[in-house]
Amino acid sequence: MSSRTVLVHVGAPKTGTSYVQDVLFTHRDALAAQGILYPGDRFDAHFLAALDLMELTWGGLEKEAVGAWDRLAAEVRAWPGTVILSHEILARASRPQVRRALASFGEGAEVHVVLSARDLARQIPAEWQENVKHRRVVGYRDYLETVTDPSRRGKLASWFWGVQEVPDVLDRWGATLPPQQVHLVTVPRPGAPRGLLWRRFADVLGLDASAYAPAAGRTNPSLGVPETALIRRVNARVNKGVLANEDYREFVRELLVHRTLSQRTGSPRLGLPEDVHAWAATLSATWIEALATRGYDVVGDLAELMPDPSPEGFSDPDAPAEAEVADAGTEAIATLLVETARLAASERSLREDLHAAQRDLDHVRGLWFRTKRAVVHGADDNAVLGAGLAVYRRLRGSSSRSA
Amino acid sequence: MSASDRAREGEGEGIARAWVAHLRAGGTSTWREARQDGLSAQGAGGPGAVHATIADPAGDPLPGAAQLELVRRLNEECRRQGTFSDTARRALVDLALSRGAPGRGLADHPLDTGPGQSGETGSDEATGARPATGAGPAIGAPPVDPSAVPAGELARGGAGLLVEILLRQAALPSSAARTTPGGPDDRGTPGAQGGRAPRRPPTGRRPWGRRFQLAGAPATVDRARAELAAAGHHGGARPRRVVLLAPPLERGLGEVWAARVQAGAPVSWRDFAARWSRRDDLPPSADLAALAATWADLVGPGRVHVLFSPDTAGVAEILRLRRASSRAQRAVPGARASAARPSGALTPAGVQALARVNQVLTIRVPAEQRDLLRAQVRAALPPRGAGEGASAPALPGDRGWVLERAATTLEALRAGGYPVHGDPGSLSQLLTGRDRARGGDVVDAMVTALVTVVGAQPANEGG
Repeated sequence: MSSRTVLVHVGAPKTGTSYVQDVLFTHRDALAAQGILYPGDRFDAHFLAALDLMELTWGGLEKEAVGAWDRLAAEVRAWPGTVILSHEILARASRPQVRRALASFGEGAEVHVVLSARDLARQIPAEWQENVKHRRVVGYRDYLETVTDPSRRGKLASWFWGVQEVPDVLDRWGATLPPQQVHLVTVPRPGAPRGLLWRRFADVLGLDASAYAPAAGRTNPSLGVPETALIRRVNARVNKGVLANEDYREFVRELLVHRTLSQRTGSPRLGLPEDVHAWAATLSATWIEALATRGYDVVGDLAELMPDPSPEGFSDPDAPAEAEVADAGTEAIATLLVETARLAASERSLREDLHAAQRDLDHVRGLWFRTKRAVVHGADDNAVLGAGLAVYRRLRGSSSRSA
Repeated sequence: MSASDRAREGEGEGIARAWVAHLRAGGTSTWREARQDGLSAQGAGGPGAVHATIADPAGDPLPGAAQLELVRRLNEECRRQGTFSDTARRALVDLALSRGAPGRGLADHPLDTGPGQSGETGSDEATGARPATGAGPAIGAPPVDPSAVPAGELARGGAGLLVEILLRQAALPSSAARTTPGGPDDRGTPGAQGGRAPRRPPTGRRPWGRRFQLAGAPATVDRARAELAAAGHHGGARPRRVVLLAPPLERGLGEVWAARVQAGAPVSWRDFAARWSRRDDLPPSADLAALAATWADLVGPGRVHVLFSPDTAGVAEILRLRRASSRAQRAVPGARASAARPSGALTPAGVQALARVNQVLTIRVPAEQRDLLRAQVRAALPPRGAGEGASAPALPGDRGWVLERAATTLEALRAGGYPVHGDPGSLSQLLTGRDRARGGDVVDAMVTALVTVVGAQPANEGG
């Protein structure tokens, strides 16, 4: 590698990217001491930069992203050693956007593109769940029909293929790079040794896997079938202006989904119905065949992109077991009650603080101010006092009324 | 893929590169025409219009179908407007071919260069990408004839291009936040008078004039206010009378949407309508019952007049302004001109195009500088002619909720005891026609704005 090396991890979503980003951000000081920069002063700096690069709106977060890519790229250019960038939505970048990104790293940088990939039979359900966690109300079967339609019409399908079509993502990002600078990390099958995916990532990023213990904090956990069905129903009730995006993020996505419902691991997991599973397997074989000819650096095994045989007993989230949904709903209500009580206690405490501050202020202002305020308050209920106050205001030439 | 298929595909790419060069040179042939021209030229041995141009260099990736169709339409509009140099046009086209579209949608729209005659052209936003005609591996988005790219995708690319041009033109001075927005001809420099505050223009406001206030649907209020101002009646603070202007509720909602988009909201008509329908509520300036109650608290219910199917003559009659003097009109130079150009007069397609631009402004431009750019886009969009429809199309979906809202509004107004003028039944009148701006019209508005913005720059050697 040249002295200036830029490793761009461009996705895909639902392939352990949050896990990698957590490790890199947590250990950024130790990495910097070794000459490896993970730039950005906040955890989501790379996400905001990706929004800026692709001019993407994201529930209002884009307002914080103006100029974010150029700021990140300036850090990249200024660093003399290795830089790692990582965000999964970068997978969706169009060719002109990729050109802009690569050019922004400056002359003389050796750019490596990294894409982590998981088989379609796990990615398709995971992407639908991700959509539900982002306020969508589309049913599972409708979603499957949308993404399997060859026209890729509509936002759902265009996004899915934009971030999940492994050969096309690598074609867009790797078209101008030597194939050995394009790295494909495959996600191990379920049941693989714990830590294997992290070791693969560490290998391609040039890190000592054992030196950077994965943090226990931030992950992007999956939901069971009844829990996903519940959130979809909640979305239908709180969308279209009922719950603001920032409140949805705090109470639905973080509190309910990530901290509560994802802990329920005993419920049925989401898979693909048999017909779609067969379709996914055929498509995966095409991808594996195409990827095998490109000369990319494969970390893992291309065969891991082939779905496992279809498991028996597909659990349909469009027709979930109602008792299980009710059980998840009960737990959600209990969680929200506890949170409501905590917020109410916090509000009481703040009110007490405010009243104490007002008392202190009144004491400082003195008797004349308190008398005037009593007159103004009294004028609300006393017509004579109100008329007198109106005359006074007119004579004085000002009014507190707003037009 | 057979050898003959590969040969035909290579031939298709050659024609495509000639077509790209044709577009760069200002051509307006469609891809279908280019293929017919190219194929017939090869067959007959004579150069066609497209074939005669020097092909785009091989090796560079072909631009996408959406970029190419947008460029073709820009060339058509440049010819139509005919106001600036080919250098400026070429710069516009090069920029359009080099940048990606903002936001969501397909990452790429590959041009269909496969063997076989290019298929039927689609129409507007309802038409999606066609399946590939080639027999290659099913990887990447399906190739598409540019004329079949959905209008929404063209408008998406156009919005990104428009913002990019405005930023590159350095129309954004470092002191943008301190510059008064007002369109491309509004380049007044604050403080240019040696630090003295500019003299306030005469308003024609008379101290003995009647104190009134107008409220209700934004564009209707703006229009009436401008016409009354032109006659020397300015209303003002602490009104003695308030007139609520009440066009049909559906039309009023459209005015609120148009006003919000012009103030920066990145919301489409469908999303706006769905939001209020879902809430089963009305936005504040369309909620006549709430407006009336608020004003009644301040001036008394007897002085809050509700005017249905409002026009300025009706307002003047309620306010007893019939003796609007010609002297007052002479005292307000330019008032007539401003009255003739109310701020809300964009077509529904123009408002929809501006909503798309707002999305890009949100991500590209700091908040304090967006108004300036928006004003430039606003001024470049085609205006709505006098008497040319409403600010928005009809409400989409079931319109029962708006009829119910109209009924409850009338009930509340009756219960409030406000003086009512005109036909209250008009509040329930529904618009006829489409429930969304036609996608093609949105693209046309965007293309017009793009060419107007480029043509408005003095550096572009106009003519």
